[in-house]
Formats: sequence, C-alpha cells, structure tokens
Amino acid sequence: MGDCIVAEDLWKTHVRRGVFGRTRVEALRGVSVSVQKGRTLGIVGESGAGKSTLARALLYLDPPDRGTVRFGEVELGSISARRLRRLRSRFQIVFQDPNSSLNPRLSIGASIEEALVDRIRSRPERRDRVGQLLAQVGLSPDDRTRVPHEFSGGQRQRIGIARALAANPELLVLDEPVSSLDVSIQAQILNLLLDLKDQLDLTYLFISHDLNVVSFLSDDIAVMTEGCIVERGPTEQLLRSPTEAYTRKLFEDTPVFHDTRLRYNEQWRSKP
Amino acid sequence: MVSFVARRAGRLALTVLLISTLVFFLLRVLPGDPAEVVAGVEASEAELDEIRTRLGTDRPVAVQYVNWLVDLARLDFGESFFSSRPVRVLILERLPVTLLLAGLAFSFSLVVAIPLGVMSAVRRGTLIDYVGIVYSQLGMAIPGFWLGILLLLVFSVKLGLVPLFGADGFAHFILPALALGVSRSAVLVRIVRNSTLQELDREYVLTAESKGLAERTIRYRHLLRNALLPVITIAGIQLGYMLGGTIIIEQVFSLPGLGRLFLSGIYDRDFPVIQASVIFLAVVFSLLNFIADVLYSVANPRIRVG
Amino acid sequence: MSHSSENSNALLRIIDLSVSFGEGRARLRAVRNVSLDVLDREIHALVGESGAGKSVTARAIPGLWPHTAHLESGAVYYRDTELSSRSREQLRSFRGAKIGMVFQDPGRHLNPSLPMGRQVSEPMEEHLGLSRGAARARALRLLKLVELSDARRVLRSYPHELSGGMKQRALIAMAISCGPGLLIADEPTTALDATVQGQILSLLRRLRDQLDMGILFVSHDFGVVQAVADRISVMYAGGIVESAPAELLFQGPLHPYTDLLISAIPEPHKRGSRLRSVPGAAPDPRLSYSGCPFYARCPLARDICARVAPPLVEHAPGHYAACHFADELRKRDSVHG
Repeated sequence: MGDCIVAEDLWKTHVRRGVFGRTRVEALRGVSVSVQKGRTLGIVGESGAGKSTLARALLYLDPPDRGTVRFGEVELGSISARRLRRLRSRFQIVFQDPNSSLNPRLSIGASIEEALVDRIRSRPERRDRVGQLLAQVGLSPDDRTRVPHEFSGGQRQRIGIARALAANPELLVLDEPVSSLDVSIQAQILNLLLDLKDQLDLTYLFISHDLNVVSFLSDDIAVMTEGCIVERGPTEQLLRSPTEAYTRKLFEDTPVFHDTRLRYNEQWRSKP
Repeated sequence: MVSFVARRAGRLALTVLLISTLVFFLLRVLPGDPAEVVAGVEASEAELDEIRTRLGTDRPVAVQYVNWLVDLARLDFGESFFSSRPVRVLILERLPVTLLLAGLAFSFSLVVAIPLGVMSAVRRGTLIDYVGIVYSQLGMAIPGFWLGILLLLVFSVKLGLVPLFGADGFAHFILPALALGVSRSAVLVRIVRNSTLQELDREYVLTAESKGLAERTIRYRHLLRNALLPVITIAGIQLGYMLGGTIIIEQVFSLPGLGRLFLSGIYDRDFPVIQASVIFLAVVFSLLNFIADVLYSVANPRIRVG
Repeated sequence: MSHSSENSNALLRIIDLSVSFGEGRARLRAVRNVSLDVLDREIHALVGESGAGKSVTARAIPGLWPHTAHLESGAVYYRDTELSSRSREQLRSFRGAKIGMVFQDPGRHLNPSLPMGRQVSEPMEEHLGLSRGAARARALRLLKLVELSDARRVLRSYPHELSGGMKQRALIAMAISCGPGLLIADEPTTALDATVQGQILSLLRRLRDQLDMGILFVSHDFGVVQAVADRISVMYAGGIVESAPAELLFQGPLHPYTDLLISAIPEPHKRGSRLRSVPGAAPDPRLSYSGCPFYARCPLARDICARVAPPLVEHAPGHYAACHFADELRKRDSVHG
C-alpha cells in the first residue's frame, strides 16, 4: 500500500507575545512522518510535545515554517490557496472539544450540511446525506434539528465525526478525540472509529497522550517529545521493546491500565 | 525594567506632543480673539494690533507653533495673556488646592469602596450587600456637581456645620471631596464586589479552607490580595478622572484650584494657560497610569517586571 | 451493611452518607447512602465516572461540601470522633491538622500571589502553634521530603514559577505538614503529564509508608487506581456498587458495572476487536428510583432489579458487591479463571 500522507523535516516556531517582550517556542524541530493508506498511526507524547502543532501543520491549517507535506501526489505547500481549499475535503480533523468546530446556535443538521454545500447541489439530496451521516455515527436522523448543547459529550463527539465525514475524506486526523470522555463513553467512540475505518477505508492519524487508547487503536506508534519524533514502530514491537530512553521512561512512568484477566492471553503474544 | 520605563516615557512624550498640538491648533481655529478680551470692548483697532503684536498672535500660526514648541522643550509655558504672569507660577500656586481636593476625594473613595465592596461580596445577599448595591447604583446615577450643591445646601446653609466658601482650612475641603469622591467610589464598590466574588470561587480558597485556616485569615491573607489586583489599575485611572472632575467641583465650591484657572483661561481666551493646563493634566494622567502599572506588577508576582 | 461493621478500628468510617443539592423537584441526589472505611495505612481508591459522586463524598468528610449542598443523612467518624454533626467552623481544627487534602489541578489550587513558603508553613502556624521561623524551617524539610530538589528556591518561588509536578509536590507537602492521619487525594494526578503521574503516585505510596497515613484516593482513571490502591470502591450514580481489595476487583469483579467498565478500557491486548462498552448513560441524579440504579444498562438485569435495590453485600472475604446476581458473575469468572 502507498502512503496517504508524507511529511518531511517539518519545523515550526510559535512566537508568543507577553507583556514585557516575546518568547519563541520551537514546537516542531524537524519532524518527518508518514501514514500508509488504510493504517492508523498513533502519535503519543506529553503535553507540549508538539502533537497538536504537528496535526495542524500536516493539514496546512497552520502551515509549517519549513519542510514539505505530500498528500497523495500533491505537495501542499506548492499549490494555490484555492486548490488547497478544494483538497481539504480529502483530509479532515476531529478535535478533542467538538464544540470548537460546531456553531452553538446552528442546528447540528445545518452544521453538517454546511460541509456538503460544495459537493451536493440539490437540497433534498443534501438532507438525505445528513440523515445518513447521523445514522452512520450512531445518532438518529431526527436529531438534525437540535442544537449542540442538547447533546452529551459523547454525542457531540459523534456529531464532530459526522461533520468531518461529510466531506468524504480519505484521512482523518483525530486530535485527542476521546480525552475528555468517561471510560464507558470513550469505548463507544473508539468502537465507532473502528467501524468507520472498516466501512469507509479510512486512514487515521490518532493523537493522544493516553497510552491505553493509542496502543489499542494504532497499527504503528510514533513517540513525540520536545518537537521531535524520537521513536516509531509497529505497536506491539514498540510496546514490548522500546529502544529510546525517553520512550522507556514514558512507558515505565505512565500509569497504564492492564486488564489482569487478559494478562496471560497467549493468543495475542503469538500474533505477528 | 529600564526598557519598560523608557518605553513608557517615550509614549508619554508622544502623547504630550500630540495633545498639545491638537489643543494649540484647536484654539487658533475657534472663534474669539484674545486681544479683544485683553483690551476690552471699547479698544480701537490700533490698540488691538498693538496688543496682538505684544501677545505674538499676529504672527503666522506656524511660527507661533514652532516658537511655542521650542519654549515647551525648555519647560517654559509662557505668560498669561491676561495677567502677564508666568503660567508656571500660576499653576504652581493653584496646584496645592487641586491636589488636596483630589487626594481627599480619592482617599474617601478607596476607604469606602474597598471595605464595602469586599463585605458586600463575602456576605452576599445580606443587608450589607444591599447597602453596597444601593450605594453604587445611587452614586453612579447622581452627578457630582448636583451632589455638591445638595451638600452645600444641607451642611452649610441649613445646618451651618461647614463653612460655605473659601479654601483656607481643611474643613473647606470636606464637602467638595465628598461630592467628587462619591460617584467614583460607587464605581469602585462595584468593581471590588465583582472581583471579590470572582476570587471567592477560585480553587485556592478551597485549598485554604482545607488547611483549616480561619475565615478571617482566608479573607485577608488569601482573598484580598488577589481581589484587589484589578482595583489598582482602575484606581489609577480614577484618580486621573478625579483631577478632571475638580474643574466642575472647584467651580461649585469656589475653590481657587487648577480647575478654575483652566476654566477662566477658556473664558478669557488665555491660550498659554489653557495649553499648559491641558498638558499638565495629560502628563499627570499618564504618570498615574504608569504608577498604577508598576504597582500592579509589584503586587502581582506573575507579571513582575524583569 | 458494608464491610464497615467489621473493622471497628477504622481510621475513617463513613456510614450511610447522603448528600444532595437543591430542593424539591430540582433536588439532585449526588451521594446516596454511601458507607465505606479507610483503614490505617490503607490507600482506598474511590473510582467512578464523572457525576458518580466521588468528589462530593470526599469533600463531605472534612465538611467541605459546596455551600449549595446539604447533608441528608449519615455519619462520618475520624477514629472515634463524629464529624458530620459538626459545623464547618468546628471542623476547622481537623482540616489540615488530622485530615489533609490534595486536589486535581495544583496550579489552580495554589494562591498565585503568595510565595510557596508562606503557603506551606501556614497550616503549621495555625495548628501546631509554630512561629513563622520554625514553620518555615519545617516547610523546608517537608519540601525535601516530597523530593523537591531545590527546596530552598521553591520556598521563595511563586506558583507560576514551578512546573505542574513541582506544584503538586508542594501541595502534598502542605497537606501532610501537620502529620495528618488521613490524606484525601482528589484526582491528584489527572491534570499532570503522564510521566509525572507515575512519580506522584510512587511519592504518595512512599509517604503513606513513612508517615503512617491512610489515603482516600479519588480518581476516574483505572490505570492510576491500579497503580496505587490497596482497596477499591466503585461508585455509580451516587452509590458504591462494589468494594474489594484491588487485586480481587480486577481479577474478578462481582458487579456487572465494574465488569463492563474494566472491559471497556482500551489496551493493547484488546486490539483487533471492538471494546465491550456500557450501553446508554447513567440515570438522571434528580430521579428517585426504588430498584438498582444500573438496571437500565445491565446485561444481567431481571424483574427484581427494577423493584428492589440490591444492598452492598459481602460475597467473598472482603469483597462486597451491590448486585442481586453477583454470584453468577463469580461463577463465570471462576470458569474463565
């Protein structure tokens, strides 16, 4: 399988203006990363490691200062703003707080429809598609007339996912999508993400600080700290034998839950 | 810290230059010839010309402006058109009266507003809170000059407790300071109350409680420190406004302060007096803001100046 | 009754505690008939999802429930002293002295405009009658005890000058400064970075050993709880549904909610298949119901569950569960063994 997205040597510096001067923060320091079509790459790291900056740089929401991002055959830095906008439908992002992408005054149906205006001309068809999307994420098509605050946190995240899916993307960047959810709700969303990936042949870039979540969902894991990816590998291999000092420290010091009922599940151990 | 002060000083100089330029040209554009005021209504055209030459108002405006700027740079504010005395002396003579008035009003405002605002927030919904709310509503609604006249009528005319006019004793300043301070303290009560209410909900108050500290300790050692931070900045601006407010209050109470000097300057088209007064007010206003900012950064460790 | 009846030498004993917010129709029952014990030197974790009533329970112990809440019933004993009948002011001599508290977000829980030294010494001046100087000297030793390397500098610092982990260590130093018998830690690692979490947890365990404290540890995070707890009580909809020694609970949960919740936590062993998840959502805390609060979501539910609320009963030594069919789960677990 080919690569869905390839980034090479990304650099990004944030300048923060304070009361008495400005400080520069190097958020990305030469990050190269790629995600193969149909796979899930998990990016794990502590807060301030540069995970979210990487996500925004990859999608050119916040273009990198230096470096290249290739999506399929297209280099994002070399195309016009208009073409970039059109290309955007093929890669979408889901945030931790779905409220940030939903207009609180707009019904959720209208919010999702917004993302469809360019692609579907006829209104009734658009409506149908909205209903279909809501059903796809486990909501009822009748929910379309309600506004975001009428929904629970888990439901809002479903709406955020539906909105991202409206554009028929190939790549979904998931930036801490389950971090503020309770365990039981989190499991529902993770299951939804698994199902959608199968149904729609999606590629995921999954960002989280939660080792449990990342290692459950990802085929490969990249460990980020201080603006760099220090180690990357297939999930099982990386968890079993990390080579970098930081990765070892991260795995050892992070309280990770183990379902002790599964601890001796040899079936998993023998998997490639 | 040095660069901070330098930046602020630069900004102050720029402000003064802009304001003084604006005032200078505004005065020259507005109708009214100083010479006519100085000479009186019956003066002949020749007399007027002579006076204009003496005052320098016959020269082109640009020349007047440059001359004035050069003098200003040497801190020479010129002479009053009307009394021919140096403006600097006039201002220094009047300054103590205004400073005393504004200082008293400011102290009154703080002394009333801080305890009332804090208590009002801490004992939310009780009588004291009600008093605080009513005071701030009324205080903001009543204009200072009207309150001044009312105070004069009640305390001087009817009760005779305080002398009516004059500025030779402390007693003369009590009523004007009240008239000036009430509306400002009314605003401040509100700000202190809101700020305290906000701080009451902060988690560190819970921590202080979990340490078993007495309510008083929590209030005075923990809460007040943070609740009064925004008050510093606002109080600085308010003191500036009070200096402006003295113009009217001095008029009501016939106090010979800067405000009256300024006002009579306007009546008399006494350009040097007006210009100097405006510059003076602008400088004081900026300085007060600067002092408030420095105090704020001293009181707030999070933005302490490096 | 719960296990509380047997351990009469408990450090902390909560009996039948109920706390609610508001009145009449809007009355929200946050804590419903909770009973639990914390033994000497025990780390007892109170775990559950948001809204389960963990924090309200924990804060009710030293009388720090929100001003809008009221105690409906129940008793709280610290050793032999009953606390719940005392006023907030009367409980002041317990708070900080015998019961220390650590909170979730150390940045918000420290006073931003007081130097750390002041904040750490305060309780010692208040409760131990130490002079400023003596309290400060002890504060320095405490900061070293919580493994703050540059203790002298920390003493002079303001909170914003310290990292999250340092702030939490300082907050812990503050909470243990008067040698409390009980430490209440309310989500103490939730706001911290992953690697710092582990350090704080081992610090708490070490302090428990060194200072002979019991710790009531509130958390929503099973990973954290697994790393730190001796005993775990699981809360759901305001009540305790299961309580057991940590290992027993994770090996064979006896309440379907615990069982599902543990299964719902993602981890590498569960890769490749969907997670078991708890369907639906927790009941509205304003509702009153006679049956089991988990009834609507429970895979084992039968008629009796809708009518009769199951009491918290000991099904195995030290293992309590509030489920009519706990024994079925036990049998199933032993089969899977």
